[in-house]
Amino acid sequence: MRYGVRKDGSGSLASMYGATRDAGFGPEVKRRILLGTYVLSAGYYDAWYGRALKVRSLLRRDFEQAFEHVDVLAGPTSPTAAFRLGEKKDDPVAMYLADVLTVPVSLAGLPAISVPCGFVDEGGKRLPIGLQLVGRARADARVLRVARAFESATDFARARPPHHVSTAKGGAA
Amino acid sequence: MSATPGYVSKKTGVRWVPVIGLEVHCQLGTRTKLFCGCEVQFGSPPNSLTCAVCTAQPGTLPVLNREALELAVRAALALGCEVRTKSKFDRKNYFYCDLPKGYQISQYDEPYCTGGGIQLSNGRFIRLTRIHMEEDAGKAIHDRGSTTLVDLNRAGVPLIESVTEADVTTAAEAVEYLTTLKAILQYVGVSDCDMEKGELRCDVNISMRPEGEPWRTKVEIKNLNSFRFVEAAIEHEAWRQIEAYESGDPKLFPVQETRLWDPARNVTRTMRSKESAHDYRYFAEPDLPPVTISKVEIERLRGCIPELPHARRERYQKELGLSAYDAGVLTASRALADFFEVVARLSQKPKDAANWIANDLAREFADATLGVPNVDAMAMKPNDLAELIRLVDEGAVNVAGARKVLRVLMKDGGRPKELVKTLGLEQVQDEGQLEAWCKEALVGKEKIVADVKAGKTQALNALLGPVMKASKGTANPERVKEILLRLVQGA
Ligand SMILES: [Zn+2]
Repeated sequence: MRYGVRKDGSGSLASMYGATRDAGFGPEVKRRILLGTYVLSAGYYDAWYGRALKVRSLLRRDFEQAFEHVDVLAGPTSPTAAFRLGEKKDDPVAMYLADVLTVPVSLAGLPAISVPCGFVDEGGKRLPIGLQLVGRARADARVLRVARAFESATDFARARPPHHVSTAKGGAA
Repeated sequence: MSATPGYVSKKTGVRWVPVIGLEVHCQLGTRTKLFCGCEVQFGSPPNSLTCAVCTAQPGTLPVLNREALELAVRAALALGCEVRTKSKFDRKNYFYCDLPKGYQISQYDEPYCTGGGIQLSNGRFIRLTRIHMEEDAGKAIHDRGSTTLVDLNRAGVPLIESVTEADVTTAAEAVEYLTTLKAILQYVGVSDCDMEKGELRCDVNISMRPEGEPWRTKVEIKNLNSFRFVEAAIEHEAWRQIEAYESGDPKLFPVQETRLWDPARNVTRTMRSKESAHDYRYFAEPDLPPVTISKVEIERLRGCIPELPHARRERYQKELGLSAYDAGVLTASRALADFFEVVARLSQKPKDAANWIANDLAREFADATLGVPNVDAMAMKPNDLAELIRLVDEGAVNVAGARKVLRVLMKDGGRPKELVKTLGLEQVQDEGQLEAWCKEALVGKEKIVADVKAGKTQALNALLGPVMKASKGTANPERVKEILLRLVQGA
């Protein structure tokens, strides 16, 4: 094992694999591995993985239909502004829901970009929000052009939240 | 058609019929691996033929070897399969130290070809279900003390796995199927199929049932690295299952499992049972695009398929007038058939060429390679044998002498004409000398002379031996007979 953690376990190959994966992966990664293993296992394969593949095809078709009428889809990147670190640790489903607007795009295999588009006030803080631009398959260049046009026409990309401290060199946060 | 296949139990008189399917892994003869540029070579120092891709370093991506796809398609076309213009790769997941990625890239539900099959000599047709492409795993070496060593030279080597329907009904059919498959794969240049190098590996699925009854539990047998083992394993496993069923104790009945052939003890033994069977959790390989090949490309490759063994066999019999036996021996391997054709063309004597190759050459090789001459490893070249045939034809050496020359040629090579000289096998062409030996042999043989004069010319054969002995084997027997006849009739 050339990179990362290695734990030897009780001497056998399987126990080394087990100990290493147990020590090296965090709870969310483990959750996803377990889920993935479950949906791919014999007996559940068709019910979960097979159906998911069908849903993905439907999703792709849905997007294709939309692109018969428009060049690019624009919408929020995330359904909410940023939550606090670890805030949804105990509620994975709520956490997954934060990805609900980006995952379908990935599943459909479409090019997309997120660009800054302003701030919202929440809990007494000004939090940044993103605009997601989605293009049809292989229209990566168009998506980038639209994003650049949006950034040129607005000041959002250069805007900083009030408490942001800019360094002398104009560096990052 | 042969008699009904099956095994008749002495205990119950029941005829048990085997239901057999064969899975064959064949290494494609590419220069490089399936998804990276590493060279493929047998016997190189461990882990010398590896790179970031085939050792699964983070961030690497596979790229399909186009040559492997072409060879795979050639194999499919030669076996009469239907090649799909679009197929895909999947990940077959399992954890073992010889598999650095934790999955093998294989083809699951959309293999690159389906259908096809092989015709057997008894008239039965063994259908192929499918053939798919996949990468080989590395090699785990367990016999070096307490640690296991891993050699990844083989990891990523391109393979095709062909799977038959359960159409095979006897061990002999299995062996004929495998022999024919191997010959076809060699003929079309897909693989050398060298079993000692693991380039052809076979698994057998077998279940037994009383004649006319439905199929029963099937058992998979692995580790069959020679056709002799396949035959022995089927024979053994058939009786093992029959005895298990006839014990009447359901606890002893065959279970669905994988068994290993143990050639040292001539038995199969459990490798893993169904409970511990792998669940490979296949899913589409996201790192590779679908495999596409156009109809035009498939037809181009079809045009490159050379004449196959059975077609060659027929041609040798029809056009060259060879016996079925000779034609069969000659077409057993492409190298041998090619060798024969060069000798036949150079010597202009196809029947003599066939005789020398199917009999003398094959006999010389019999011990080393179980009857199939390994032409590539031989020092003798086709033009040498053609010259030897010409020398015999011209009477410069007799057949017995030519056999001695052949043995030297095969082992050490050389020029046939010079070997005839240095081995002292030149036939005596000097008529005076031949006549002197013949006269000597006739002394005191009045009875034979009388018989010959009475028309029994075969009586002369008794004099052939003494003349050949006197000439130390360098006389031409045909010429000697002519001279003897002339002398007797002239007397
Ligand atoms: Zn490599």
